[in-house]
Amino acid sequence: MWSRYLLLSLLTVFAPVAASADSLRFDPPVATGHTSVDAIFSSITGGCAVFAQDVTVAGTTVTLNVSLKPPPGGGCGANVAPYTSTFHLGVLGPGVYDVAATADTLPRAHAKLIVRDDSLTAAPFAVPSTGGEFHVLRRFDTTGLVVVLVDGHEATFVREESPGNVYLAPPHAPGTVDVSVASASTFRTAVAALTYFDRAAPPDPALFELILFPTSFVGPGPFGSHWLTENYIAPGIAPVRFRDAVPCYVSCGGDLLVTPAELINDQSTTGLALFALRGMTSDLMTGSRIYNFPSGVPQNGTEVHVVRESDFRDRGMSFLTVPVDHRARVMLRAWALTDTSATVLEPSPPPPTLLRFVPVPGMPYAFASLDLTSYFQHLPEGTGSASIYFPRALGQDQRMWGMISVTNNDTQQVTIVSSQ
Amino acid sequence: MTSSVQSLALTLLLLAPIATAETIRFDPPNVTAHHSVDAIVTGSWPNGCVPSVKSVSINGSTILLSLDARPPLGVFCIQLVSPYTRTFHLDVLPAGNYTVAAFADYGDSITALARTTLIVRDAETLNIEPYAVPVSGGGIVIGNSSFVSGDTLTIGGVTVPASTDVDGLLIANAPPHSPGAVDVVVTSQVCLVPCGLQMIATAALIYYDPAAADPAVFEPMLFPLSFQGPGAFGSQWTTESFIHASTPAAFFRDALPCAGCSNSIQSDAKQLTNDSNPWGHVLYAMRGTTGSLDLASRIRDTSRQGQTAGTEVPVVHGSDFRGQLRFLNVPVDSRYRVTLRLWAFSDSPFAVAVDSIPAQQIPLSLTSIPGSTMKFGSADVTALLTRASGNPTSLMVIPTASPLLSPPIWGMLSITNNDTQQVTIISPQ
Repeated sequence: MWSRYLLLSLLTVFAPVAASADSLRFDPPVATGHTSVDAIFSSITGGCAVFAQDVTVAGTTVTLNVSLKPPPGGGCGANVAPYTSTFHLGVLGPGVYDVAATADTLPRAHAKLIVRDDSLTAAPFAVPSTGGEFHVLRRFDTTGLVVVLVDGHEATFVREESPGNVYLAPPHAPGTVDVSVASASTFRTAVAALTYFDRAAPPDPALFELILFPTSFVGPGPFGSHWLTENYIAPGIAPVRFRDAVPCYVSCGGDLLVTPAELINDQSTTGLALFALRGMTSDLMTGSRIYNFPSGVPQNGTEVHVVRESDFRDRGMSFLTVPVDHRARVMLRAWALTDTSATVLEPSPPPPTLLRFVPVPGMPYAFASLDLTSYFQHLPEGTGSASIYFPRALGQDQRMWGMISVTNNDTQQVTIVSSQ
Repeated sequence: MTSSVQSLALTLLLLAPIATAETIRFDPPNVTAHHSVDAIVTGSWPNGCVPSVKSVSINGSTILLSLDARPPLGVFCIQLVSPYTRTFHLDVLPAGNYTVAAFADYGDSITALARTTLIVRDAETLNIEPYAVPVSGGGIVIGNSSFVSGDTLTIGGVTVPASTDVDGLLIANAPPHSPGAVDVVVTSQVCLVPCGLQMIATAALIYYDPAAADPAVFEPMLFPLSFQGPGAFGSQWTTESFIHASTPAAFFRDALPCAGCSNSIQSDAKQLTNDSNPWGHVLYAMRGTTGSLDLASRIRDTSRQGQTAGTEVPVVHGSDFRGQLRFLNVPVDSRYRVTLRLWAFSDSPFAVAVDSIPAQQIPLSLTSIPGSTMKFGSADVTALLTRASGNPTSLMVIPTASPLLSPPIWGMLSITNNDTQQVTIISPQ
């Protein structure tokens, strides 16, 4: 296996593809006034060690600081070393916080944290800046007359729908606002209860959950193959709202998924991404299968894993028991939740095989692919199977997921090995 | 509630037998002193006016969850048993052992609904691996950069000699203890200032009953197939399942089912043995220790390995289990044989249905998996699929009881082409 040192050195050589050094994210990505939240700060040191960290909360400003110290007998050298510090922020009051990460008080990363008061509303907790429907929990009042205000502007009642009532939020500039429910006898305000988003802006991870269909292709392939992908999505008990209209053939309801739907193949080599509003996906069901069509022999197809955020891991990718078959072509496809990133194949004879991620325009992830056919051609076929790794490398958010497809050139049967 | 009623409630709730079927669970199940926790009460109410959350009171190590059971004024309550689930936010709790009791408050009386224990573990003062050991005791490694050789260690008040004692590291055997969490204390014997400095980790080591699978400590990990042998139409099947671990170590309740394996794995890769149990391998992994694991499983027909390298089988975690299953885009073809396999956390009966008018469904019953809290059932659904209205179709697994009270389930369909023996797996995603 390549040593971590060698890996870091390689990525230093390939500096243009290495990620920027600092990142700051939250777990969970958006909190409520009842849930604790961790801030996860990743950066590098010049050979120093992290020996202390502290959190300061002043109003809606949160400062995270790591203190570094030089190794025994010397100063902080040029050797780069990645580190990740997790700060427990506890349960914060509702609001929008500016969170700054510093190292020895020097600013390194900055992010916005929404802590939502969900006492008056239910999912969805975000609407487009053009306005949209949101859910107000039913409140009993002696008069039964209730007025709902969004940032002081009246929302329009739309319909009753368990567990409350649906209202239409008026247009508003992007940002997080308060929601108030007023009646003849009460006036209650939920701070930071609703966020307006800009559809033209990149998807905000605080508001949306990525659902990635790795293949979305129909068309010819090598050796006379012709491929068809079938991607499906279905809501559970409740409808699911998405950032954009769901790209499906029939039974589509715009950005609201109410019935099962087959998705349109967009021919993208980087897969098909949907962004569901957080808090609405616990019952969401998906399915994906790829077929070779014109083979003459009916094929059942091969299931493709539909990727959720929890599938992305920050310690690299491992592919165990990849079949070694010299009749097969072998392709790796991988995604990383970062702008740019890179990692190196293990084990590999020199020169090192670099897997380089390239940003996908408009998406909060990067994509990489690698033809591994020749790599596996060099392994003895009697090996049966082999395991390969793409370890975590230097840089910021290194969460990644990938899959290897092994396709028999004679039969076009596809075996997929996922990082799981 | 008045103080006298409160006092009565406390006595009743902590001592009285519980006659209802309500349950309390926690989210997350493995609670630490730096993260918030919710208590979730689930049960059945005798009428349609199900209770609402009234209050949470925390008094020392006792937590009372109060449900407002007074029916709303002027509302007719339908006389039908109604399932309900209510969530109480407990926020961040100090480390310790808690007794949690839920009760229904009718205003002038109370009824005890459920009672359980909650361990909030101090996971950061000392780094203890593993953080849980069986009641018979077991080896632990405690790391902390401030340790100095010669420090003394007590576990649950018992002084324990260290087998290895170097700067920054203590290795010891935790003595036997009854189930529950105990404090771990490291006392410095070096008389720098101050002399006798103690590092106290409250409720930092959990003792578990290995005959149970305490959800606060263990999460299930399922390898759905572990078959090797002949199949239909001359097929010869083998399953290849692997676990690879880097660092830190991953811990399990039982020894892993592989040659020379123990209940932990670190910096190693192991192939699991095939035992041909229809439910595969059900493992219980210690929560929070599996971050270093890579998993893989593949089934293939060795008699036709020139045609295909086989089919990947998903490895399932506890979080993959859900309240309902719907398999989308299931092909219907007379040349396919289709099997449904289902795993659940109770033996409630289920029905398997396809999209059709009129409704077409078959029953599915589950049986216990030995050594596990999980149940398993399977059914050949080939004939059922032919009664679907469309092709492809959807296949659903429906709890016969109320969905709200149904246990989480996971299942998969295997579709095998009788001519080519190609296997397609459809799993809930």
